[in-house]
Amino acid sequence: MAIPLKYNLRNLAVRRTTTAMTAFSITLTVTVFVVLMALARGLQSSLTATGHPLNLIVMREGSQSETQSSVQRDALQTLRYLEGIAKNEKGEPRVSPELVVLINLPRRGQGQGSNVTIRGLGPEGFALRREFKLVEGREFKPGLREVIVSKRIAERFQSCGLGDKLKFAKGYWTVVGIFDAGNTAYASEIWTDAEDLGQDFDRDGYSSVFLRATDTAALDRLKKQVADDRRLHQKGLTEIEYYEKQTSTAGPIKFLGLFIAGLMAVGASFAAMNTMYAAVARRTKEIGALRVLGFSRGSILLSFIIESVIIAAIGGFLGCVLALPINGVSTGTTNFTTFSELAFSFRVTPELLLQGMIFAVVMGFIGGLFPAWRAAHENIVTALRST
Amino acid sequence: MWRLVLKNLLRNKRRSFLTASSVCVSMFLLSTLAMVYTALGAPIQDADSIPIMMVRRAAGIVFPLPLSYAPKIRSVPGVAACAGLTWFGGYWKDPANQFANFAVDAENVFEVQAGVQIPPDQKEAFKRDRTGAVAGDLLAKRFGWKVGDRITLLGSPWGFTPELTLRGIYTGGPADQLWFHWEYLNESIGGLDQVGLYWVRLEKPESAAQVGKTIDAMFRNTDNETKTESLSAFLLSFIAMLGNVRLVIFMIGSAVTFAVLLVVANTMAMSIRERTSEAAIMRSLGYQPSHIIGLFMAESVVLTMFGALMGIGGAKLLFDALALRQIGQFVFADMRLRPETLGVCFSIALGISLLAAFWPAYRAARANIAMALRYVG
Repeated sequence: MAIPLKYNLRNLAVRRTTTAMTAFSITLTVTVFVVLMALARGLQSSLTATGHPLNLIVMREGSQSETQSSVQRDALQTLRYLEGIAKNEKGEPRVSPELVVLINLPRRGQGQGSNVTIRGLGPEGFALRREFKLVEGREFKPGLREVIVSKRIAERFQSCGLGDKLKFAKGYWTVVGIFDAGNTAYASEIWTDAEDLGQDFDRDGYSSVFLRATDTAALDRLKKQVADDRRLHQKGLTEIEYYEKQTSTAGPIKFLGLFIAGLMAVGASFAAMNTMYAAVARRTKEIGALRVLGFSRGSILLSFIIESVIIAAIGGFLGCVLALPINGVSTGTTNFTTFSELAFSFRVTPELLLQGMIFAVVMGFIGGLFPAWRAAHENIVTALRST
Repeated sequence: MWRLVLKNLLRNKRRSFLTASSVCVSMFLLSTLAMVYTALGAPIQDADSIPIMMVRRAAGIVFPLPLSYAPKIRSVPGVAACAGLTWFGGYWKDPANQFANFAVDAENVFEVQAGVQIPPDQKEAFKRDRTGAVAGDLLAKRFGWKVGDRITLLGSPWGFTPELTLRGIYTGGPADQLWFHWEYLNESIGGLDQVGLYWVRLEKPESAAQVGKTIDAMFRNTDNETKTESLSAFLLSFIAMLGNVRLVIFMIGSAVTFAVLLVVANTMAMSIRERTSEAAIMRSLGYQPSHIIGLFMAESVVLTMFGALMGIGGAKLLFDALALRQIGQFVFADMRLRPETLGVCFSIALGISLLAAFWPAYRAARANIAMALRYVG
């Protein structure tokens, strides 16, 4: 028969200072774990959420990112007339030649800057990205040195607000609109016209070419056509593949999170162990009495483990609550594949909270196991005689 | 008195062991965080004494500078030498083999990087061979390169695959890099006559600010405005791109510190409460409350500092053995537990130990003797 849970709860209430201190050391561990994992998740999801399944990016063979790639103008002409590209209302192929350059902009409230991606789009560029939504102002007009800035970049970098003038390449560019691109990599970019940008940076040609396939079969055929044309020296990657490859940026953060939380967990479970040993020592006589009443070793073992797990669960719950406000807070780091700023938000998901709770319970279980074992193997007679 | 402290600590060996281990693990973590935090703030200790500066395009490191700037920079008073270089970004054999490789001005690079030591015959062989290369000893060791080896650099954004012959191995300076002739790169990509940045050697390190200003002023209002900064500032600008990592580390560090405080406080509270009646007996024997407080506090200090010594000392030994500085430049350029970082960590540990024991010790020492004697725990 199991010892009633009430027995454990009352005991915890009696030793509330110790319980609180132990629980709180677990709280801190869980908070750190959840926050760091939320950071890694936010970064990862902004990359995995980017891309339309039917979009193909054509880049120079051997280039890891658009910034390193180049596509000549004559190659664009070949690409435009490949078979399997979707057409717009006017019957033109849905192809956008794009030019990507990085500029160093100072962050708001900081002298130091970071590289921000400026993307020059072809006329079809907007239509190829369903995430795109203009929130303020208007779209840029070609030939007027106008740019539109994503909301996240506008918030995080100096002179990127609506109406501001940005200085890069050969002069000033006016910010005429603010756009939202959801939780994607495009939400960390500044957009303008590809030809304007090319002129200012003396770049003949483009960085990449975006194509929209009519269907998945056409997508595969397009990829093959690009790869097989030996004159092009280009390769085709689906937009989704391209961004998924960059998720390795989140790797170090995940590792760091596990390393730090792991070490903190060792400290916290030792604390739980100390607390539980003290609890067992104080209640030796009670344990003897419980045994006399007929409770088995197993139920004593279970009871003490449950007590420890309860402490840990309280701590874990508090930890999750403390970590929750970080959800949605936006931050940014450099994506080292593209060498440019990637703005994203912390993402605390229910799944992550569950992981935090499991993490706490494991700490409690490990902390409680040995003391509970000891309690269960107490000699009844000596236990009853102890003070 | 100290014997009493030790005896008391050894009374509940398991508890002392668990607490000390917990402190040890946490302080290991804390000193690791402190090390990274320091390295992010000041990537190179005593950076001011290194007389090397970098000149790059103000618009960003990804934009090139004209080759014609070199003689102009050399003419600035206080400049001892100047060499242009271009980040090449190739890898060797496998994309996993990433390392720093630059196309450099072979004539001047050794003048600028005066800390680099290379046998004179190897230096001459490198200068003579247009497709020659030199590598730092750390890099050569990593890939097992020997002088005379053929090295092909793949996957560079320049779209050109240089086939190089290793002509020399240098020690000192940036020993994790490979250098080859900038002319070789320039010819192969169509003679753009551009470099990524300039390394400048100063006659005196103190003149850094002045020289930086003069160089930048010289190119103001041209198409290619420059930004001249010290090696340390250059590294910091890269670190800034990571985002506010220092704040994150500081917050985690605070959480770890607070967690250790809780663990030690919990142990001390438990151990002092169990000895309430003992403290009362000592008081009735004539010991003053201050003695009792001192005794308990000393116990906490010995326990915590022992754990801290293990944790921080372990971290020091481990990171010295790993030689993180040899991993590469940037954040790792001078990453180690510097003496002042160690000092900060031990101070934190001492603070924790005093704070943790004070309140329970104070209560035990001030308790009514008659009540305390009756206390049964």
